[in-house]
Amino acid sequence: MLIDRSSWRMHAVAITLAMILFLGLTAWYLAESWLAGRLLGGGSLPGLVLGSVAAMIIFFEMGLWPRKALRRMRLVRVKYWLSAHIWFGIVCLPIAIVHSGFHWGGWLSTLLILALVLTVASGAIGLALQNMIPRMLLKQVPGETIYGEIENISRSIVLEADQLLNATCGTRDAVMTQQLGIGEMTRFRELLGSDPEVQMTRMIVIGAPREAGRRREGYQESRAATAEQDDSRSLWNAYDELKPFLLDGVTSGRVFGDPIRASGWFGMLRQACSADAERVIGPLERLTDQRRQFSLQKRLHHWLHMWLPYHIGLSVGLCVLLLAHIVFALRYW
Amino acid sequence: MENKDFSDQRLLATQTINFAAAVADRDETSKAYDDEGLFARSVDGRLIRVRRATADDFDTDVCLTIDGRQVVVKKAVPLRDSQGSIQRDSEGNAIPRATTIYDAATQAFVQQAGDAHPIPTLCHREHLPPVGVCRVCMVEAVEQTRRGVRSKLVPSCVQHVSDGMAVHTINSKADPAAAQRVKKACSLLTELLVADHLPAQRSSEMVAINATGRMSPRLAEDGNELAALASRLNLSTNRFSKTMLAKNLSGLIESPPPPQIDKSSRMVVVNLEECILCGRCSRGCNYVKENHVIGRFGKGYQSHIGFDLDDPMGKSSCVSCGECVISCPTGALEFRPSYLASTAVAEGHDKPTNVREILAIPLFAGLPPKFVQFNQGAFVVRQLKAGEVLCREGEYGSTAFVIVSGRFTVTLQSKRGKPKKPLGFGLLRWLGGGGGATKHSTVARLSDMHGAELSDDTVIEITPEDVIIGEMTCLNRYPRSATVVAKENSVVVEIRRNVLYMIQRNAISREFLDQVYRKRTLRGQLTSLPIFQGLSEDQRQEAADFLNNRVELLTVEPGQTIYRQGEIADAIYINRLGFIKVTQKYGVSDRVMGYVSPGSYFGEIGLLTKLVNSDQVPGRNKIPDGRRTASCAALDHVELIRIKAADFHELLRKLPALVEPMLKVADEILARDYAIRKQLDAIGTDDFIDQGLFLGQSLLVLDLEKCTRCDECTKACADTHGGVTRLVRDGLRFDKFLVASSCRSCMDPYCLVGCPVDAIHRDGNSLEIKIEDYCIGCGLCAQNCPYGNINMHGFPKIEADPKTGKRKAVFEERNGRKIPVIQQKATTCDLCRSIDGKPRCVYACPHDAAHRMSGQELLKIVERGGLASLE
Repeated sequence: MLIDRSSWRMHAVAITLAMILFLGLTAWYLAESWLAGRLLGGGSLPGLVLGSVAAMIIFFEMGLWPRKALRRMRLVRVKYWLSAHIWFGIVCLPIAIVHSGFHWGGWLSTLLILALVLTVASGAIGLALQNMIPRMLLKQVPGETIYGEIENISRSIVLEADQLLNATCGTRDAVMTQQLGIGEMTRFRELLGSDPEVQMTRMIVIGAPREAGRRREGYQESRAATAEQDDSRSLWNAYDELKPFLLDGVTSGRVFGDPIRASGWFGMLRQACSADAERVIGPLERLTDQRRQFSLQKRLHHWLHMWLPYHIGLSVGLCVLLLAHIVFALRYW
Repeated sequence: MENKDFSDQRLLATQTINFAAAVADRDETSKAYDDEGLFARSVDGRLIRVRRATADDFDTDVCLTIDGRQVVVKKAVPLRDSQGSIQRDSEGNAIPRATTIYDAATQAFVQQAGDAHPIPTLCHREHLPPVGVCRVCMVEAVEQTRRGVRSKLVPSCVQHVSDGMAVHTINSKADPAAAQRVKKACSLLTELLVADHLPAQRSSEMVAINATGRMSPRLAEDGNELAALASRLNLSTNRFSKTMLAKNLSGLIESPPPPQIDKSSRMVVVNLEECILCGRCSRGCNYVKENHVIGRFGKGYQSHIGFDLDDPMGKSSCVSCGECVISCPTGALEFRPSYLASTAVAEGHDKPTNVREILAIPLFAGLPPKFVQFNQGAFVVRQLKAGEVLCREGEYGSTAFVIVSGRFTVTLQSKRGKPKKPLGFGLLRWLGGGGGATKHSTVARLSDMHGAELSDDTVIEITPEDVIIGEMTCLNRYPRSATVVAKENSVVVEIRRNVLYMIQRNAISREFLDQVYRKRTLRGQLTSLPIFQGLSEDQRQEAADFLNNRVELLTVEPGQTIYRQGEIADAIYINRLGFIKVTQKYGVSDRVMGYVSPGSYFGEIGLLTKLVNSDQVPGRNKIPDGRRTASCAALDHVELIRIKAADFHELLRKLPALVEPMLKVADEILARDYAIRKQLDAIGTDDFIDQGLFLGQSLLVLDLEKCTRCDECTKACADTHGGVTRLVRDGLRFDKFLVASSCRSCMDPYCLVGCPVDAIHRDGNSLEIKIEDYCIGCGLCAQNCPYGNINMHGFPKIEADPKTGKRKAVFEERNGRKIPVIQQKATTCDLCRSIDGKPRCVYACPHDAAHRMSGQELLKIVERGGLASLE
């Protein structure tokens, strides 16, 4: 959640309430400790209240999970809940420390406080990442798409590149026939034709076959087959090298993941081909750039969300430890 | 040997005929030009020696007589599309089309909706390009040529008018002999068509009609125009019917092949036996709906219509829009009874609409009966008691009301433009409001304009003479501008937008609707123009009276230029509907100066230049005399009121008090242009307009600096709508904001245009675009939406059992397997109106990144640099 001037009002409420809670309880605790002449422990009344409040905050923090899952319900808006989650989560740690009377205690309480520190830390890291990475995505990935659609769009990119090559350099079929021979090629076609998924009819669809409406600004490049035959072989070979990168991104691309090296590679390809081939090389370079952006998006997306499983795991662990702590504390109180 | 002799004789005969023909040709050579001038012309001018109609022909009068009545028409009329909108070239000028005899006869004999046309037609319809294939519309045209008077039978739908022409139709009383000749030829054609294409059952019904002298109700309901034509021509027997031929030519003719009936479609039955190859279905499919599915196949007797590559209809790419069936004049294309029954149930009607009752209303007389069958839910007869409200101001209604009886009062109010939802109080308001995401006003401006300057207590009375009410809202898709209450017990027929579109295909009905508009709305609109603000009430009325019958009503298509910078200013315009982009040359390119919204006027500067330049006020901008200072082009569907320069100057002479306020306004505009030019350097308004954001009333805007791509918005949407999301977290970017692919609730939604069953509309006070369950899945709305915000999804096909009325899923058997039928249906964001009206996508966003706002609000935020934007 971004914390900046545009959202300070919303956060101010949660910060104020959290600070009032923390400062009020701490003041009370310090006053009682001053009266007692020592730092009171968790078993004292202020300590117990502080501990109960910290526990309630932790359970409230866990409440964000079901709140997000119950999207259909008109509970408090999730942004207010998340704001409270952040600020109460942060003050939970000092409240717990005050509750402990600034002592580690036994192994369970030590483990508990360490788990709390780690949970708060993971959340804080997540918050920091949420403040940084969306801005990076905005600036560095102008061609951003939906994360889950990257693979599909990559396949579309390859399809587009295939069509471009087919249209300008002759079909892949011709090249494959040259490479495989007619017999192998026929067998390959038969295999495609007997695909049960292709043949099976699962339902009868009536109505418009359109999936979605027109998109403004959308266009696809298509050109007539005009490239020189001499370049066709070079372009197909170059495309064979490029295709794995277009499909999978950096995992299989050695050169293309780096914009400078990729630029050099396309420069060499331009030198090897005639000027007419630019109508193929130019679009291929643009598609490569787009695929590179998707790779960067995947990396940034990973960083943007990778902290969450740790945070949730630690939170669940924290809750288990907290329950154990409550049971043992009440038992030996 | 015998065969050889026969061949020789035939050859000799052929040679003789050829020789005779050659001699005749030589004799007729000198007449050829005249004959060809009469017979070889077509409306679109593709044939040789056809002189294309020019813009000058708009002003050239042609005088002719039709059935003895003198008619004066213009030599050319503007080319119109199927909805009657004038087609313009890239310069914005109307494209001329030569006036035909049929046009002239329409002008002379059809004065109001429901009047019978003297010329019968089968293949021709006003909203379709004429093809002249059936020849049923033939008339006798007498022309004075260089070689004397010459009379010919010509097809009136494609034959151009000429000065001094005398035309006789089948009704001609001026020359009964000519009428008889026309009728004989027309009857012969009809007799031949009936013999081949009217089934025996219908033929016998036709005979029954003649005996009683009245048309069978069933035929009228079926809409079989061939049967109706035969009845009109009093064809009691058919010399060419199969029975007669079998009787007279026993053994010489083969028994007819069994009828070819295509039942592959779930909606339409195709019976090629009844097809007369008039081409109305293919023109409807290709020209009106632009689906390009129907074509013609085969030659000679094998000619027939076909779908795609002559596939069965159900297996073709037909989108089931129904246009072909509605266009068909015979029983060749008909709706399946099971489909009509299930539609009636889906639309909540217990019994089918009474087609005869509906068609008896004069305004609906020109509607095809099959259209009424197809749109049973589009006609609802409402009976109101005195004091009952017919419609309320501010509601988004998609219906109009045809008044059958009774009187109504119309109240115009001006208390509009306030936020519909309170923002909450105290802490809640401070936090950003408890009133939900839609904080902006839900009311469009055009609707306000109609009554904005009128006092709240103004009341207008509406009687059946007004015929129709609420048509502006229905056509323009803006909120209703008035509240209508029944003054006494009244009856109205509530009709949907698609019915109005269908009515508009007819020129007489269009003219009628224009007259209603001029009478009811235009005067009020003119009175409340901002330029008249400084005038007294009497002066305003005087100005409105002066202009009321002088103004032109124009329709401008998206992208069309209205005028260009530097052109001579010849008119001032008032924008009734839509948005107009104003651009000025800025260096080598054009820069957008702004846009004109509904209710505003423009183009006055060019008309005021002499006054502006002669004035000696220091600092006033000098502008070229009588020239346009900017270019204006329509951004979407625009309707304008045009006041000619001469009328405008006359008005200034009549009302000198207008001059000073106008000069002041002109000065303000010029100063504003200067300021805008400076601002434009900093703001990317081109994007704002190109992306259509100015039209959006409820954009789903994601702040990409805040959005963590968690997809909670999409998940919330899917959870709310049965697992199918109605938003896609992708789309166009504007500054740091992503305008997600979700319905924008456009001010003038293109998606509402053209739905064949009016399943998509806007109701009540909501901005929501509502798609009803009876959507037939033609995909037109999805295609119309320029932003890809309507998606087609497959749902199990549900049909009503004609006997029990219960709705159940439909299955089909293929290769022994029972396969469910999936019906494609359109889905779009309903702003969660089906739940509680608070968009879930916004409510569920944990990062305060998702917001609903209007385009204007978004622009303001971007202009402020996005700071403190979404508090």
